[in-house]
Amino acid sequence: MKARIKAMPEAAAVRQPPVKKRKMPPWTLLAPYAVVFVVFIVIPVAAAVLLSFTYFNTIEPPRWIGLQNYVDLFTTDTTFLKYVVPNTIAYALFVGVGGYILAFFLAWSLSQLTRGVRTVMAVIIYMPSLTGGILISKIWAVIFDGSEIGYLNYWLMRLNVIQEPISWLTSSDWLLPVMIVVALWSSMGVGFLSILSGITNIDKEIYEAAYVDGMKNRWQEIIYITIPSIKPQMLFGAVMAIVNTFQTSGVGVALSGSNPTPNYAGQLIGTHIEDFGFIRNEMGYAAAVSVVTLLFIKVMSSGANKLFAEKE
Amino acid sequence: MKKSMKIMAAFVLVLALLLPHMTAAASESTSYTYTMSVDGEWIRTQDAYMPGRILLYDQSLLAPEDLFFYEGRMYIADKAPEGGGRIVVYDRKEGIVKTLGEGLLLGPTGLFVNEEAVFVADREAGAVYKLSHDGDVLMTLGRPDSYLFSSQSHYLPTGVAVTSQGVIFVCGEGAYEGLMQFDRNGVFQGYFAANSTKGLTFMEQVQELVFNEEQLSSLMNRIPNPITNIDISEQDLIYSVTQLEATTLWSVASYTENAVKYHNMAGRDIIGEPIPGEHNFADLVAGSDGRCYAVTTTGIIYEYDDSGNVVFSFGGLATSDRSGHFTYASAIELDEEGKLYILDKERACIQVFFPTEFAQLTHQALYNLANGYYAESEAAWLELLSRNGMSWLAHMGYGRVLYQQLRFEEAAEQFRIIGDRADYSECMWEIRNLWFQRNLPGLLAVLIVLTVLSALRRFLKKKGWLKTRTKKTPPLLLHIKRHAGYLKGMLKNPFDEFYYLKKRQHGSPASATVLFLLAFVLYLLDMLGRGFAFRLLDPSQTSPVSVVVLFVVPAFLWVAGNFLVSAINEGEGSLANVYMATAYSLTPYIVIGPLVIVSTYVLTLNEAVIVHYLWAIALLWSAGLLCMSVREIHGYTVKETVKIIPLTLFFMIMAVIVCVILYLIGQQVVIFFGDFINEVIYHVKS
Repeated sequence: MKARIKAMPEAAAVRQPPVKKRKMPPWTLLAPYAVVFVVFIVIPVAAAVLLSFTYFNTIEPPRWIGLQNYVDLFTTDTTFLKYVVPNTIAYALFVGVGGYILAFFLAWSLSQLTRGVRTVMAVIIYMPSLTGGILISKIWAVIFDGSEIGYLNYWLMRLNVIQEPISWLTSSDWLLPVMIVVALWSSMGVGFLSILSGITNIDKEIYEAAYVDGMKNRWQEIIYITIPSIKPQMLFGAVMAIVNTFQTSGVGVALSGSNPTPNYAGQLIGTHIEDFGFIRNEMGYAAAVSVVTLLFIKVMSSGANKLFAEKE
Repeated sequence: MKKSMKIMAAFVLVLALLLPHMTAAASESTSYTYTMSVDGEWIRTQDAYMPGRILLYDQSLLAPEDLFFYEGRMYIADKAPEGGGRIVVYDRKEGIVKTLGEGLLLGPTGLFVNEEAVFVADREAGAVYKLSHDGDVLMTLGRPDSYLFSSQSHYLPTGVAVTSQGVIFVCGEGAYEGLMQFDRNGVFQGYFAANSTKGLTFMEQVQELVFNEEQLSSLMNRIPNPITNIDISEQDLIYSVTQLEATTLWSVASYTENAVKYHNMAGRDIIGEPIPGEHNFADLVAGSDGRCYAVTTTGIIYEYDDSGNVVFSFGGLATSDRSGHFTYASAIELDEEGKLYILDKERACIQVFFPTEFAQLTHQALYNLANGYYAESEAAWLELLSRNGMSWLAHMGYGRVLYQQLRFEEAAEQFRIIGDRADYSECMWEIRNLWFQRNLPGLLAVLIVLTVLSALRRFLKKKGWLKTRTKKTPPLLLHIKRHAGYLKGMLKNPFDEFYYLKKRQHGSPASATVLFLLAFVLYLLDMLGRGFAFRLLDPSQTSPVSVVVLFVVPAFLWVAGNFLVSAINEGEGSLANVYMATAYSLTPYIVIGPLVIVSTYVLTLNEAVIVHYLWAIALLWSAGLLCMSVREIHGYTVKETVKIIPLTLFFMIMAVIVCVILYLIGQQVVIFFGDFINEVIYHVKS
């Protein structure tokens, strides 16, 4: 006989003592943040949206061309449609979804450890996301080196799996999988930390109460207590994962050493924007691509929101 | 009676006299010409080459080994059976013009001629000679004295080819390291284009791991096959043939792969895909437009196009003295007009083949395709298709031509016929892109209108101006809705849902049966009805029974096995429980499956990852639920579940084996009783 437990309702909000009314207008408190927010976020985003309606090559002044950039993006940019979109989807499915699940799993495993070990392990797991760029070009490039002295090639050839070295980083078949492996390794970022802190901060008494009520095992712990309790952190992690996957641009370039990547095999939306914005200096077009990316992230995030948001 | 017999006999006689004459008139070719069909099997096609004159018959050739065509003259490497040899230069008008290298050569087997010199590979002498056109020795390439050349390596040159830059490639007997490459001054440069060993079998890999050095050396040598013969095209592309172990695999389309290879200047195999061929190729010759021709020792000639596709195959072993057949073919050459010259070593003669109008048409079409004259070659490809509607090559060529002319729908159809998914998918991508380009404004307009409308509706509802009407839902719909709710529960919270299933608060055996049927239909669609680019099985080539059996038998055995195994292992679930839980475990497949099938029609191989990802999620999720169901239904611990699932699988395998054994025994019993009864009848009668 199993008693089923619904998610614990949120602890009733504690009543705050009434605050005395002050004369200062709310503006003053808000101002520092508002100024910074407007200067560094609102204005650049608005500028990007405006630029996306222009032809701007950084030398001549921007010329208004209306929706032309968007029309081009979805009809004539075969690189975008044929390589960038499928690559980004594949990358997002594996690194975004896979990395997210991995982050939760790792965070949950770490939360079972004692405090000291947990901190050390968390730092180790979190480290790659900080040092990513350097390590990619130094360590991973050596492991996936295309000659027979690359570590992976060497071992695969010794074990007789392959007969001749595979050029992992310049072959159009292998670059994306290698990118996914490397990105997964470095995807334990802020999202992972927030989930970890969420799990460690769950009140132990909730678990005890649930066990008293008939909960049997860890699976039920996760499903009925852990996940419902850390929904805000899960949401934060999901949004960070989504933003990260669509924002990434450097992995393929750092690994293959070129932008565009060989045969566009590792071209993601971010790489495409960099290619057009900073290599071809077509700022207007690059802005259009980034606005589309922004909209895409918005849609995905609201999806994540629906999944994890607290229902009042 | 007697008279009619006589008439019959006379008729048969006349027919017998007429028939051979009639067949002789129908075709002068002495062998059939084959090509690849759209299903990848050999089919007969129109004659591509006709046997023509026989040259050099009774002209004192001994055992000719190799043949080379240079400026209208034939150079023949002639080897005496008892040792010694010479190069015979033959002109079609003047007969034998001169002989070279007499007294010098011990056993010439390979030959290459350019304006500078005549290169002769002499196996017996262990050297490659560079002779002037007058027969003087210009250079001798003996055994290389280089640290790159192992002292254990063989140096028995059998073939030679020289690039336009003067780089010399030599193939030799036992030279499994690859072609030996010399620079124009005769300095050994290293090996080139080695064959690879076959992948080790599982047994051999175990041996590699377990055996020590001594035991390993007692095993058969695992070395690649040496290249048998080579040729160089005008573009300095190197073609090689390798003799392989004969396979005993006999089927309609039996052929050996990887015998013919095209190499670039780095020695890499540029085709990459296996090229159909034979195991006993003797020689090959590079033709114009990247084509090449190879001949087996048994006289079968293959023609390949520039991508390694078989164009024609004809010829054969001589069983009588007919032209166009060979007792032992040793070399093949091509002249400027496209005629083929094949050297028969045992008969010491050269058989000429000349291309028919059909072959010329094919070559013209291939040439146009390779050089981008698409519109011009369309008629030729259509003509080829009309002559042989089953030809793989004709469909491929016509499809490419259509694709290049941006007629994607028609091209897709051609590629579908020959089963070329990659090109089909490419066509679909273009078709979709065009559709998108045409309909983008419309799509955007619809999207905007819908957004505005939904915003308006929300606004109106908020203001309370729009009243939500309550419709009366019919009971059937309500029933379906309730069951759909169970499915949703299964996805969202399987623990609860399995609990309700077990307590019989949700679902029923009837609804489980409906789910099974749904899953079965989806499975059939998934296996047989996907878009062509993602098709798993070809409906025309799979037996429907085996597809059905693959679903029904495992499903039945799982339900039965799981119930029986858990019944003796203190499981709580009844048969109905197991049946329902199994059906409901398929929920993810039932929900995601249609999405997968629809997306195979919309997506192309470019976006294949989405299809595969969704499919994998559907299957893994369902499998996960199935495992979970065992635990929840029977009230097991995780440990017990881990034990029960393999036991159930074991039961399933054993059940199949028992059924097979029972079937075999039953058959024996039937045979036994049949024989017994026959015996009794026989004895009773006698």
